[in-house]
Amino acid sequence: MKRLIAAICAGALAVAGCSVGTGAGDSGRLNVVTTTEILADLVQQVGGDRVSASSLVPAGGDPHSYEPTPADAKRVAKADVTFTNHLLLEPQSLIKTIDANADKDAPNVSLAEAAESYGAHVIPLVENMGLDVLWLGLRVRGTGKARGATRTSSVRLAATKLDGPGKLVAYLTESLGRPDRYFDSTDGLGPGDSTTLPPAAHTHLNWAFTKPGVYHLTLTGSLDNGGGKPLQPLGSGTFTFAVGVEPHSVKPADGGTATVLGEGHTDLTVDLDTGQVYAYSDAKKVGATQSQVPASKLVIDVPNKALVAVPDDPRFAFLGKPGSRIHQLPQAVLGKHVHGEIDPHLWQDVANAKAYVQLIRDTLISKDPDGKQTYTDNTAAYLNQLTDLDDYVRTTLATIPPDRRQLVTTHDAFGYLASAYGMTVAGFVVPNPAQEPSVEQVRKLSDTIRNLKVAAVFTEPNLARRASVLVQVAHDQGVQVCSLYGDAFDDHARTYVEMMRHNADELKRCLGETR
Amino acid sequence: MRRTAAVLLTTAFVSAGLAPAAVADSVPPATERRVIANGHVDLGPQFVNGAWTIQLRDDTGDLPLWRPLENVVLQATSKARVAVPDDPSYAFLGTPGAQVWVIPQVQQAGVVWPGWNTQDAEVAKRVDREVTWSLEGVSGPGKFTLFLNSDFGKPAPVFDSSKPFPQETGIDVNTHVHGNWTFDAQGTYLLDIAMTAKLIDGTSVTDRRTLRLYVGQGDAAAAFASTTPTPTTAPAATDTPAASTSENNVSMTWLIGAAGVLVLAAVGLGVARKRRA
Repeated sequence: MKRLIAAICAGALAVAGCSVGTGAGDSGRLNVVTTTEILADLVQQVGGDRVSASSLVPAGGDPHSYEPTPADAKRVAKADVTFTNHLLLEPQSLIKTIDANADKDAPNVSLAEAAESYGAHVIPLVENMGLDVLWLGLRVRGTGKARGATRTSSVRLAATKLDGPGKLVAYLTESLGRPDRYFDSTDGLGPGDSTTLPPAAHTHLNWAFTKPGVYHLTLTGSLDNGGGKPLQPLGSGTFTFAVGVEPHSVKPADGGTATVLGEGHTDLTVDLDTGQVYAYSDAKKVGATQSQVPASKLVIDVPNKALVAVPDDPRFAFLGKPGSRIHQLPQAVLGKHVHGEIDPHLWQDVANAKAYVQLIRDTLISKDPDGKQTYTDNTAAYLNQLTDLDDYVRTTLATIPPDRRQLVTTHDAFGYLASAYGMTVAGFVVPNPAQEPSVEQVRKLSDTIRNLKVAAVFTEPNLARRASVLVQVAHDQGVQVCSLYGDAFDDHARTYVEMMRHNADELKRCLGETR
Repeated sequence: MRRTAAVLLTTAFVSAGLAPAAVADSVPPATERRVIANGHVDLGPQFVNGAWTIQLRDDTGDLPLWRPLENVVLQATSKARVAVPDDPSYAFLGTPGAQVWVIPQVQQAGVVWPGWNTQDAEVAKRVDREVTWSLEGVSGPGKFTLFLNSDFGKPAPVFDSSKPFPQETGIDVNTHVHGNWTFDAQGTYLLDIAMTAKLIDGTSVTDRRTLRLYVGQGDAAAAFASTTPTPTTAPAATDTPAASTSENNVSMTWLIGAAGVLVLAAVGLGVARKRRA
């Protein structure tokens, strides 16, 4: 164990407070054991000279797959305080080692969840990426009283024009699995490619595209007041879909700046009162009340995470051969999150690291009240550093053109970075580095890189094993391979601040040039 | 390919999913009993006089209304009757060709359309991330399942009364969802459900009540007379009448005793946590 700790410190000469001691009392310092080096660094910044913090996962190790040793159990037993991140970062065996061996008087804090009360922003864990996309439906709004509409009227919404590299099928799968096609361009568009909705109705559909590229779909409305009267024409609108390609590089129908819809709930809508066809969307704030966006200003993002293989089921043969890959926005998006679970990589948003630090401060004070002033002062100084760091990351990433902000990485560790600093998680080899990628995952990754024409992909220094797949795919497509720190340090970045600065600089270096 | 209104979500959905919740909040709770066999309703939590309470949002009238669960029976009439398809994915419904009742995920004309939502304004504001919805037990003459249609129509199960209880699922805050409710025999079904959440202020809330459903063309109001063990974890808001009309009741088998369930409901979130595969 001594050798291991020495190895950690060898790469950390510049870091104050790296201690070779593992037992409490050998230096009179508070002995704090954490699972990862990142957490140990945060603790050391708060604790200063009063604390000796060390991590169980060794330098450069992967916390997702680290298996604890008997020596780890001894270190935990001697610790005055222990900090873990969250179950989904560390394997259960590691958490168990800590829970089973920690002294009953030693605070044992799981930072990710507890930090919420300090203002940490927590993202639910996405289980099914294919569901983490726009939820797109059809809607009729307005009463149509001025047009003589009643409750028994109906509104016809027809797909009258489609251009694009492939075919579009909008269909509903009914309760017992039977697909019902609304618009289907595989046999050309005709009078049959229409649907009838009552006033104020709303339905959700699957939107399937057979090839990546840009599509323009024109929907035309008309009102049927029954009684054999002719249909009253309403307006039409042309919607733009960016299928698999960078949506910010696509011009909307009016040629101006696009409103890109990539998440939340949107309905392609015909308005009985104004006669217009537009999108009714909660795009501005997901979950908020929907508002109107003109069709001509829209780009609807159908990302590569919506890639699915056509099932071997004759009922879905209209989508193509079994196993062929299509992009599909699904009719229902429930189930995208794992119930009760959160993405554990909170520190990729510097604001969350600030919450961690305050929780660490209060935990150390509770164990070592005499050090209150030291911990408070250290924390205040460090929080100032983190504020600067947050600004640095934000202003650096803001220089990356909007159509280049795509992250393709070795594992799903950068959701917080994306959310906080305006990046997009376009794809990764595997969600969790403890998993082997499937053939389908590698194909999807390869498609993603090809379709988006990304400038670079990002490996993590501590995940060389997982990086080989990504490096191979990047090499095949002539794409640059860069690096981002995810869960661990290496010899070049020995502190959290260094790691995040590197990430910001690297993203700018690899993605920052205009296409 | 031309569609009719039969499979569309109609007027009700608009008010249910998207109307400002303040509209619903201003409507006083209904006190009368109601059998609902057509139109849109949603199960969901609400703060009633400050108390976290599972209610039923009723959009079948002119104005949306939150009704106490005790005052409602949802009826699946013969219009919801379908044959089990010859598809191994749906084998959990029964043998191919067998008659079952399916209240569909997408609205079907003439069939009640129950969903669940966490969109009450105060709920959306105060709940941290998600509500845990658990099924603590089911009594009824047959099997009950709730499932969603996932990619390409494959069923994604939420609840299944033939599996051990409690069962639970998460509802993201400020969302509104519909699923397929299935029953394989006629009669009264009592769903013992709980909704639990952690609030942003760090406290936890839970409520546990009975949702009554009646399957078939018979006298659905008889389901009001069916009683369930009164949960002790929730404020006793059950004004359930005594079971004096037991001759009207269908045979009832509690699939699980209530006693063992209460503790599990309280710690449900912790129990459900699992390592990502």
